[in-house]
Amino acid sequence: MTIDCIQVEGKVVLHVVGRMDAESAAQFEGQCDSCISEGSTSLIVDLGDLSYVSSMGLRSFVGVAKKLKNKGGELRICRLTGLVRQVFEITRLNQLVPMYDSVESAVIGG
Amino acid sequence: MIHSVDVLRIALALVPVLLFLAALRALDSYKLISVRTVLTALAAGALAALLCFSFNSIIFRQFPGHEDQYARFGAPVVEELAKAVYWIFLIATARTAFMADSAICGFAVGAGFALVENISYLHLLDGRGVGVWILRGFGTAVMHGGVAALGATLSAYLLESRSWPRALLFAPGVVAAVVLHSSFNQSLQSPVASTVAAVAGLPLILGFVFYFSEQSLREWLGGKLDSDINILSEIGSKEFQKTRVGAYLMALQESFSPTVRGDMLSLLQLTSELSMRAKGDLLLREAGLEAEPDPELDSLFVELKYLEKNIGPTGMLAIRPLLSQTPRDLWEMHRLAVGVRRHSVSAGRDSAT
Repeated sequence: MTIDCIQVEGKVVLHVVGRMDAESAAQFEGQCDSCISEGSTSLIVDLGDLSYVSSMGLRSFVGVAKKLKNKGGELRICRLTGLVRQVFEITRLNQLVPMYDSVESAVIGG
Repeated sequence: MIHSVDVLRIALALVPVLLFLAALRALDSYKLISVRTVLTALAAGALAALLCFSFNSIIFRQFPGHEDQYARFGAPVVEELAKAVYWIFLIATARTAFMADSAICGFAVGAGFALVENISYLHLLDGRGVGVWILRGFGTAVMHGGVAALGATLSAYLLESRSWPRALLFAPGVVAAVVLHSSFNQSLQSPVASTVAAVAGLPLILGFVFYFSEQSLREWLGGKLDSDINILSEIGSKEFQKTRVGAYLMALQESFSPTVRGDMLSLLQLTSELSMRAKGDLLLREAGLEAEPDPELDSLFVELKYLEKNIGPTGMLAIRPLLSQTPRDLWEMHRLAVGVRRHSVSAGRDSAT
């Protein structure tokens, strides 16, 4: 799994590519933690090129979302497709992590 | 007129065991046992105490002069069996599936029992010093909750580990509760030591129980969620027929019609989805968050019943190897079904108003 970090209209966008399993979930959480420690209170994660997410991956999303919520911010995810979209919808984690169709709409938050 | 010492006696009789119960529930990070279940368990324990009180009175009348032996050996058997009825019901019907939850329910039954017993003793021990009530409130009452909690915990452990024949599953838990209760009653001549042992030992033991229970729940949650995601992935795969689920269903083509096999596939997908919904709720609870009620559950359960009916008993037997039905899976389905009933009731209330 690879993670690219870019800035879009002043917001941090993490582009996650590959499969998020037990090992790579820690990498994702570490990346998010470093963004939070650098001052980000809201993060956008582009999951358009993520093909699989495991339970550890979901735990990481919940953990990061909780940290951001405690700081008054939010974790947003966008461009979900296939199995990853199904997993987020079925587990109803979109209650905590709002889903968007594009990076642009996630940046705006609407 | 009620004197302050009477208030103190009543408080000592009732409050410590309730505080212990509240602390147990607060320590449980997943909070899977509702307040309603705790209150029902308290009521069940109170009812058990009333029944035991009547039974013990008959024994005392029939065998005068043997009260001491009965208190040491007979009463623990009768009382623990009476208390066990409700916690066994909760575990056997998959209303509770984890050690920590079983401990809370068991303790609540014991606490209900102790409350009624102490209320009856308020009258019988009228005029006795506050010291007696410290011992009854912190010792006997906590013991009643504690031994039932440990019995229920042991049963939940045996159920999940499947290391014990199902017919005898609850025997070790009940026997353990009886032995501990009887041991407590052996030291009636030195109740301070028993009270200190109960107050100091029980939090330690239950602390370990909660720790291992949460570890076990966490591992099960992760493992089962991954398995559900994999089933979903296999069903959606372009090479479905080569997957474990696909190959199994293909092997059934001579025994079942294409329509039934289609329903089998739908049922597998639906049960995986329901299981994932329950686990999403648990993931949120793990992070200390509460999930909103799921409005889609009602229709999903209607669909589940429809598919089960269409597949029929023989078909259900045939796909059993693909359906996980451990005690925790059954608990999960029960929990979702309760959610459906509550949602239906509240929807009914809304439409009525």
